[in-house]
Amino acid sequence: MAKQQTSSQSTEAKTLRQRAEMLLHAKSAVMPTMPTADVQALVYELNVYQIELEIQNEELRQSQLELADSRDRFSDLYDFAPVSYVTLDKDGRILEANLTAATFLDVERKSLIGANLSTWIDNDAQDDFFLHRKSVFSGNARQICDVNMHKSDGTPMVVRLESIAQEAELQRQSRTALIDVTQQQAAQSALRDLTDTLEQRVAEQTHEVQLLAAAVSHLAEGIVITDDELDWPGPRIRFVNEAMCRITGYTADELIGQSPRVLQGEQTDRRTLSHMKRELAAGRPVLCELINYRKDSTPYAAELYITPLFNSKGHRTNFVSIHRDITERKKLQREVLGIAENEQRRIGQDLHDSVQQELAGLGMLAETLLENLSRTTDKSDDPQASRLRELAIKVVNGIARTHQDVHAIARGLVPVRIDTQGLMDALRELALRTEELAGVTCAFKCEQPVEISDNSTSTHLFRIAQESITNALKHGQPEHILIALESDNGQPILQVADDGTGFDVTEQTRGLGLKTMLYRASLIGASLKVSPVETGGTLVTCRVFLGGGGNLR
Amino acid sequence: MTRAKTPARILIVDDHPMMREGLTTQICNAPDLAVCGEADDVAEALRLVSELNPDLVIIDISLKTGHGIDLIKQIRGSHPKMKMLVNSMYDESVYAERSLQAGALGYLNKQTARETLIDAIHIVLAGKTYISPAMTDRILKSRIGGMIEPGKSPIESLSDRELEVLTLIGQGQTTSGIARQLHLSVHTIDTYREKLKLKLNLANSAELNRCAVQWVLENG
Repeated sequence: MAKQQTSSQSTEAKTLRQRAEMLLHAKSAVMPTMPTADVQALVYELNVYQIELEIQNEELRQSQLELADSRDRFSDLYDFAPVSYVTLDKDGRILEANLTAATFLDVERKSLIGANLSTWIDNDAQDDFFLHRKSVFSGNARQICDVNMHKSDGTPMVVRLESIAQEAELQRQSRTALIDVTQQQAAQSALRDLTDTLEQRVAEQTHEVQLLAAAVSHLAEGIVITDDELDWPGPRIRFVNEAMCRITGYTADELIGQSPRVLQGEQTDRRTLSHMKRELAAGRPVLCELINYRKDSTPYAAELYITPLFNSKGHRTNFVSIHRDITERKKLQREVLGIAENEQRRIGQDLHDSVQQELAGLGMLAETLLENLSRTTDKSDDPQASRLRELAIKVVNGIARTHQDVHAIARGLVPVRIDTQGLMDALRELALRTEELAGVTCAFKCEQPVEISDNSTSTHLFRIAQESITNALKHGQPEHILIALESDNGQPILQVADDGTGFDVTEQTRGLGLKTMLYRASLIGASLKVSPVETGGTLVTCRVFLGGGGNLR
Repeated sequence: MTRAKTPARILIVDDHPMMREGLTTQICNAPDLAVCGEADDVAEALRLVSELNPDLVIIDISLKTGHGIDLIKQIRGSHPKMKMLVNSMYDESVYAERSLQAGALGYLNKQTARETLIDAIHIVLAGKTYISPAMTDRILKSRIGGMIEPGKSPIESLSDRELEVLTLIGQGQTTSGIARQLHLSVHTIDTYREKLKLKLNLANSAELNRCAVQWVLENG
């Protein structure tokens, strides 16, 4: 094509020459008449024209060349573009195709031209191809359609046809790009499958969660889930189940967002709380018993099992606490223990009221018998009479000994006399006896009368005082011991202080004595604290909660 | 104790039959004593006291109905001169002082009664007070540290430390102030305060403070 153009260009140039020569001859006719100067000027003029024309011609040739070059470039772009392009007629015959298209369909380009694209389209997609062509040729809009195709060697693929109609000289043509979307489709279908699986799993898990939620809501144990803030202001409640509401009397809305502190109060043991905090901070689960308070401010005994929850990265995210109301269990426990205690008291009381009286009476009878025997035998030397007298002495002494033993037993069983002032008397007596037996200064301080109607409470308090003194004498070598009984708004407080060397409170916790004291305190709903005294010695404080904690006792 | 003398008439108030029998047998064995009646509760006892006007009533603390201490108070109300001796199974430490305060002249522990009953009856009949030697000792000891000598002020029975504490109280020092000054705990000072109250026979802290101030004014 370029050569043809060049030859037509030279034809043009030739005509231009002839025309120029003709012009020159016409001029030369007048030339002789013209003055030489004028001829010279004309020649010069003509020469300039000629050069101008030559320059023009050269520029034309240059742009011709550039045009051809750019055509070649576009042709290359067309052929080697990464996308397959074909030009189709109405029936799907291929009018033009780029090299990529030939490679794509695995066929030579020359056998591609004139062939029908439907040759490479699967049978089941022929309808789609037909409809695609139809919509392309009926409008000007770009049309897209995915069809299943196969290469000449039979390799299946999914191809996206993107077509747009174009007006050509004789007929409309379709410029169509073929894009392999096999992998994309595969990815999409895999994605779809994944989505389906996910949805199914979500559905399953939702169901599971619903089952769990239903189970959790019907549990007898309260469940509390909090976030993991251990420091002030403390963890916030994120979830509570129905049982928790039932136990505490709060609604879920009232608890969520609050700190579990709303459930704690005066009787809630601070030491247990700090132990709990320590364990949880270390990531360990804790089991403990606490006094908590309901919304109506009645206390109840709660058993808590709290576990930290961790996410997959090992960060602590929440605490779950299982909350059991053990008030009834405690009550039962106390009742069972109370039975033994009452039985003990009953036996002690019986010994005091009847056996001891009987023995005292018998002792008097025997004494009288001995006296009378002595009176008569003093006057005679009858060996029989003196034997009788010896026997009577044995009886008198035997009764006295038995009476003493029974008295000791009864006293051990019933240390505190059964009336409201019994504890004060018993503690005063304890102070006196301690002073007599241990040789220390021991005083009982009681500024105002403290009356306790429940003998079981009195007895336990007395035993706690007794145990405290035993501990003080055993470990501290004190010189002074003070037993103090006072009342703080009707709540009895028992204190036993000594000025001995004191003992290691933490180590002693493991000792049996203190354990028993703690146990006794828990039975009567009292708190017990053992602390060192600044100037040396130990202070035991037992604080009883009457009234408010009534249902716990 | 001549034969011609009429035996003293004794009313026994005790709810335990064996006890009554023991008492009766032993009392009747003494030539100068006689049992004139027996009662087992408060109402019967009051009736018999009025009816028999005995020389002495022996009273148990725990009765079938009512309380021995109440009975003592009631008898004292109606018969101010009636001599009464308490005979109880309870420890002396609990009821001896209270019985004497209520109006009885003596307190006898049933455990030792078989040996001391007749002596106690004679002492009370003579219008004197009877408590066991052990109890007498204990009361004296708790009050005056067991070191009383006739004619001496109870303050002289105080130990040096007790006197020091009393002086500091009299100077208006608080318990914690005294504790700081003597390098002792407040509990120990409280122990001294209680001991002082017992030895000086003071009812409460206010009386102790007053007494201490008085002592400082007179001796400081």
